[in-house]
Amino acid sequence: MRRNIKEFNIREFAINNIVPIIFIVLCIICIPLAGYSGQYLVSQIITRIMRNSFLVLSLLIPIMAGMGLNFGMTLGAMAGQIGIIFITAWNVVGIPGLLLAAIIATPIAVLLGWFCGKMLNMAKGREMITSYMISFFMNGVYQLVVLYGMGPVIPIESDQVILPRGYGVRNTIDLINVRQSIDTFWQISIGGINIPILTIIFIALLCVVIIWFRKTKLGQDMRAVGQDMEVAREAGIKVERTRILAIVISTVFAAYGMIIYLSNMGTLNTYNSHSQIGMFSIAALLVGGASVSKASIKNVFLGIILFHLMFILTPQAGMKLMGQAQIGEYFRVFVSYGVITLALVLYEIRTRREKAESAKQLAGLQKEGAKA
Amino acid sequence: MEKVKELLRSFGLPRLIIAGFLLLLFIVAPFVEINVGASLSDTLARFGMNSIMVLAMVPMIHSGCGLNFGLPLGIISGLLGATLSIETGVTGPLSFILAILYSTPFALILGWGYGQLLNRVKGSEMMIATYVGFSSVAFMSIMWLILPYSSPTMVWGYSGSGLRTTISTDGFYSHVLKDFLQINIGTLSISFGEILFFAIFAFIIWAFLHTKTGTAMTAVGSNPIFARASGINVNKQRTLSVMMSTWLGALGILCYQQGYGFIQLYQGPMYMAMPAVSAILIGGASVNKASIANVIIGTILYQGIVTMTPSVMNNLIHTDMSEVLRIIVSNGMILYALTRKTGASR
Amino acid sequence: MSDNKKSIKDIFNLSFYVRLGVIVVVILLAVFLYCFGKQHTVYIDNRTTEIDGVSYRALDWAEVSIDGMDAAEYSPRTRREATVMRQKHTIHVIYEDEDFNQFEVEGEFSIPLNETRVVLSLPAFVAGLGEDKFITEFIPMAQLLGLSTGQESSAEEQITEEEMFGDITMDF
Repeated sequence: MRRNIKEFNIREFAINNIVPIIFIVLCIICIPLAGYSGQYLVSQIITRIMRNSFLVLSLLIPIMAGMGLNFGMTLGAMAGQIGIIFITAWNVVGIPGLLLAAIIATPIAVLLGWFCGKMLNMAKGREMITSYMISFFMNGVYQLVVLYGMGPVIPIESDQVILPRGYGVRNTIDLINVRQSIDTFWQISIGGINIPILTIIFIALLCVVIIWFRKTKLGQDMRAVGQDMEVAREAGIKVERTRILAIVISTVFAAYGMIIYLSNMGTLNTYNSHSQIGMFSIAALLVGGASVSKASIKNVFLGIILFHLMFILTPQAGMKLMGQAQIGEYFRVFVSYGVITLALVLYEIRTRREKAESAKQLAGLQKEGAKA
Repeated sequence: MEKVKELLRSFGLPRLIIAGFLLLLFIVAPFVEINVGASLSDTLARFGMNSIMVLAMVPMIHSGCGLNFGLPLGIISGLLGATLSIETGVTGPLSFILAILYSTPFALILGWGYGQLLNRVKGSEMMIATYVGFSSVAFMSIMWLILPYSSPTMVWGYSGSGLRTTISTDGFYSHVLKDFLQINIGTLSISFGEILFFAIFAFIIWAFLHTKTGTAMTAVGSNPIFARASGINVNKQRTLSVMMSTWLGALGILCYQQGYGFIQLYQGPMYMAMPAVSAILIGGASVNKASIANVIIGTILYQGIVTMTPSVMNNLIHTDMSEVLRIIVSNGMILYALTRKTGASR
Repeated sequence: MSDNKKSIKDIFNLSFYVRLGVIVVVILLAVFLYCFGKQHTVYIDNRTTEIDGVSYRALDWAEVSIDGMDAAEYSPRTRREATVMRQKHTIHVIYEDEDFNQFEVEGEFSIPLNETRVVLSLPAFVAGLGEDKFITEFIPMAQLLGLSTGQESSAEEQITEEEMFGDITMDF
């Protein structure tokens, strides 16, 4: 009997954590195939944690508010990019430049987040597909602003940024002025691996803010709204407002995350840096064992480590195995999409099973009531 | 007056704006030295190329599976059929028929699996459909590199393995429908072949929706609880509709390729669902209601805008912002449909 | 009436002023960051120039250091660039005339805020002209000569549809 329970638990554990388990297995297979040195892998992973964790952390708050995975974080990324474009055109360099970019990006991100939240309130129950389509729609607006508006409508004069034709921003912008300025500001080296302390401080600060936020009145409200909107409304919580705020906060964090990401990368692909960011961040979060309705900081970091390990390894593994790095590149895209699909499907199945069970219980209770 | 108002409301504001915009473009066109006849022929040619993919939305909307964002899965089946057909080396119109035949089993098998998956995730089909489409495109990108194709028209010349990103259908089925029954009146040229091809399938779907199975499918879509109570196998109907949609998607891409002249592999099919989805929405469909008329009106309006805006814009302000406008209009339309209160059941 | 008064009071309560204050502080911070972080490129130019009809001959030899940075030597018709942040800067020049007499000049100059690239004319500075005279806006040579400034390259930098949706194989 006891053994039975134990076996059941293992099975349950495996099903609940299927995504991280698949990834761990995948990475274990790929490590010898790729043949990278341990030091290289560790330093790469550290770079990527620094680069991406802010972006991935920005997804946590909408999940808390029961709004699912915020595919609309792309909007924040766009705001961040606009900030970066401005400071590059103005030639403001270093950490002051990045701070200025963040200040410029904030109102844009708030506005976009507010729009996104409004839309999502009109599409309750299908937030994810709606936020996904918002990111597509806004991508069009972003292109319009950046490709046609910048220059004649929004005054920017800089050969570095503006296309020679006089309007529109260049395809790629070299961010040499701000490249890794946060990372190299205060760096220590342990065993040949550079550890950027300031970036770590920023990320730790955001983690603390998120933990603290859960305990505030607004955070409690969000959790209540996430649990059950109607109950929350009856308790006097302004449901719509709370939901909009969740998205606004997420969008603003995503904008800051994008600024950190870009300063680490050192180049801005004006027209497509943002487009896949949402997808990769969400995949990374899900790889860490998060679900549509539950995610923690632990998931974020585990997810980034596993996801990026796969990201680094697969092209090289593809090269060694098939003679083509491209196969590995496509493979990691397939895995990212596949992980999101799998996580969504598992979540749906689990929710349905839970619903059916609670309905059964309710029916049972009613029967008993009728008997009595 | 009431009737007019009712008609206007049923037509919907965004649709009205888009139709008005298209009308405006056609009015402006002659003044900026654009040949209206040629533009019309262009619109009709694009209609012929894209209409079947839009038609592929209908069965799934009818069975309540929502908008088929997983269209890339059908497109993948079509691509498999197309490449296999070229691999056999058969040329001319026969290769088109062969491509349809080859793609059918893939479409049915993939569609069946896709349908089974969607039955397990009722209520959030659209999100999962999107990602099923994306995953399949990424997976097939690997497959295009690995699969042992050998026809020299398709394989990279220098490495001898892996398919090219774009493959010309010249000599195979390029323009088979387009050149069939083509009539030229001045600058206006209409290819009745494509339109006939669409009409046949539109009629088949229309007729199917009026059979016993078809009405059962509609019942599943409009009220699944009632449908189950009256003895309809809900899951079976839904699977059937998904298989139909997937197969139509496969046909749709073949039809597109014959008009376009090229097969696009790898990332090509990634975002092909969006134009089709937004076309049917522009035509007046909602997340849970669609008809053949929606398909026809929607495709003409959408393709009309896509063809007319670039030329008019270019001649008017010497700037081509049509691509950006297309993204905004088509995705804005999808967004509009998703945020409507009326379509809230899915 | 009292309702009206109350609502005005509601709007202008403490939290309103706090918010207003925060916004003002942030805007001030933004302005400060702009001034503080903006990078200027100064092209130090040792060429014979003509300003207001008077010709100033290039220095035969000079050693220039800006803000106490490493000094660099200048012979006639030399142009070197220095990248600096902020507006106010000091310049230290040691130069020789035809008779090998050494002179030392120290001065301050400030770069107009909106200029990213400026030209500092050494002969004009040494002659003791005003700041607005020896510092001029940098105009690229091609533009000065009326050459096309890369119009032909605009054709190759077209943004296509694929770029608008992003490359799926991008790094993250």
